[in-house]
Amino acid sequence: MAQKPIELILLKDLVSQLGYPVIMVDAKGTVVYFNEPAERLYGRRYDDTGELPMADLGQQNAPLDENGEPLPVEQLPIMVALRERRPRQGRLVIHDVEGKAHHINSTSIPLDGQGGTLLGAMAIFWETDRK
Amino acid sequence: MVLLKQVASYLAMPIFVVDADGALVYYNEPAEELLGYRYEETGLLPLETWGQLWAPTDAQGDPLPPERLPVAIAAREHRPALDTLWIRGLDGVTRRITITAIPIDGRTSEHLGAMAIFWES
Amino acid sequence: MKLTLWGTRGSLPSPRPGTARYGGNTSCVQLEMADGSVVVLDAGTGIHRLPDFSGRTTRVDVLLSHLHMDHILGLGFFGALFQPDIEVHIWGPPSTTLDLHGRLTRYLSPPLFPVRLRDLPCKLFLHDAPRGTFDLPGASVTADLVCHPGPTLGYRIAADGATLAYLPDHEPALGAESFPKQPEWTSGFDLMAGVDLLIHDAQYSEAEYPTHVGWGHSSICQAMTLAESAGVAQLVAFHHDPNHNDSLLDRLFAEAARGRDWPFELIPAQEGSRLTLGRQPGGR
Repeated sequence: MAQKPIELILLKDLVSQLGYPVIMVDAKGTVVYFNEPAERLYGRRYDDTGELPMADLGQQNAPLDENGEPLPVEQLPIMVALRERRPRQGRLVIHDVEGKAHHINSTSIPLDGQGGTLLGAMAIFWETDRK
Repeated sequence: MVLLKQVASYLAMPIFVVDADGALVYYNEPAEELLGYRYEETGLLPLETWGQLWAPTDAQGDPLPPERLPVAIAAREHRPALDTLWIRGLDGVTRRITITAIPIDGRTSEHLGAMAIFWES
Repeated sequence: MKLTLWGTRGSLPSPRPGTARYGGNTSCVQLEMADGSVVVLDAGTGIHRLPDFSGRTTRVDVLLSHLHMDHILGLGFFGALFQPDIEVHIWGPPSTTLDLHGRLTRYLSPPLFPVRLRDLPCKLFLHDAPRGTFDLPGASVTADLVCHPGPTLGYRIAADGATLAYLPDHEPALGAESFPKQPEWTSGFDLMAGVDLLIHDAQYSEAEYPTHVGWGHSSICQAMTLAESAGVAQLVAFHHDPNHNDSLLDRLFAEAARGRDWPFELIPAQEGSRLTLGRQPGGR
């Protein structure tokens, strides 16, 4: 497997040390990393899943929008941020492997490298108190 | 913070890094261009100082106090913050900017500060 | 491809009797291809020792890994810059805001240096090195950003049937929970994978590294671990700490090599030493 861009390498190391859930996708929308707090949220370990399409991760966690409607993968804030190359904030509900619902705020940002290269995007999740 | 500065130095978006009090402790080259100053020239800047450098205003044109800036919210309230505001650059041009700020909290709950990423809308 | 190590010291020139063997000049490596093409890696104080190129070549390429002072300190004393019949091409890491000329001028201009770039007699060309592969006379070069404070490039050079990687300032272990990391998540890995010779940062001892995390350099053992992981044939351990004298370096390298068989040849970099890779000049 080819080496990742240095920007993603450094970001992954940073994200791995943060105390809140973060996922990273590359320019194609493949999930390339999610950290330990995200592992607890999804109920899955990155070492077990490896890289996987966002569609697979999103599908298994049955994301819903604020109105309780199924949220298509392409409408996830991180995918909108990636596609439109602008930051995106949104509220959604995702389910862990035990089916428990988590209400979260998602702040997603595209990642631009030097020369205007789109490297991917990252999403920071914040659980809200809303039930 | 060392790793954060490295990351910021390689990304193409303007990135500002603040400490837990909101004081500006680092900004990358694209941010230098936006700010009009090199980091070596300004060094550490308190929030009250750097928060006013570009005369930020909201959509109604009302001045935004430093503590309402997304990065101040992220640093002090330990949560991500996103907002769109207007700033006046050193060239005198007013720009609409979207700022995304995320807190830098470690896994053992140590709170280091926040980083803010600017997008010109 | 013939290599000469003209400067092997990191951070600060360190000439003194106790450093005579490994050398006190800062980073500079001369490459001479079989067709006579010349590439110089970095412009530390060691560049002052390069031979006179007048009459031997009409072009020299200088690849700068980054613009920290120990890697450009000798540039103003590089003889080829003062020869009107020579083209000098200087390649450096890109910046989002200021071109290479603007950044080099911060040093090569008064009051820090009495001669301005525009006053140099040679035909001078400055290039922001692209991330990716580009051709030089006699060689194919691949450049990419690597983990070190400030924009820093590593280079992979292919010439005369051989490959060399040059990562003189590099801290791939920064932020890593364990090292080595998976190859796809290791800074600089693609540059060094499978090369005949890797010139890599090996500034610290194992005991020193923990108090220098984030300074942008590797320990000797980290460099060796990386070389093993990348499958290189030879490792030139480079960028010696200015506080390390010859006897200490002898001991550190002996300790690092002891205890197991490493799948590559460890070559502690010594100023003035020469190495040959691939096809040699004259087609031998």
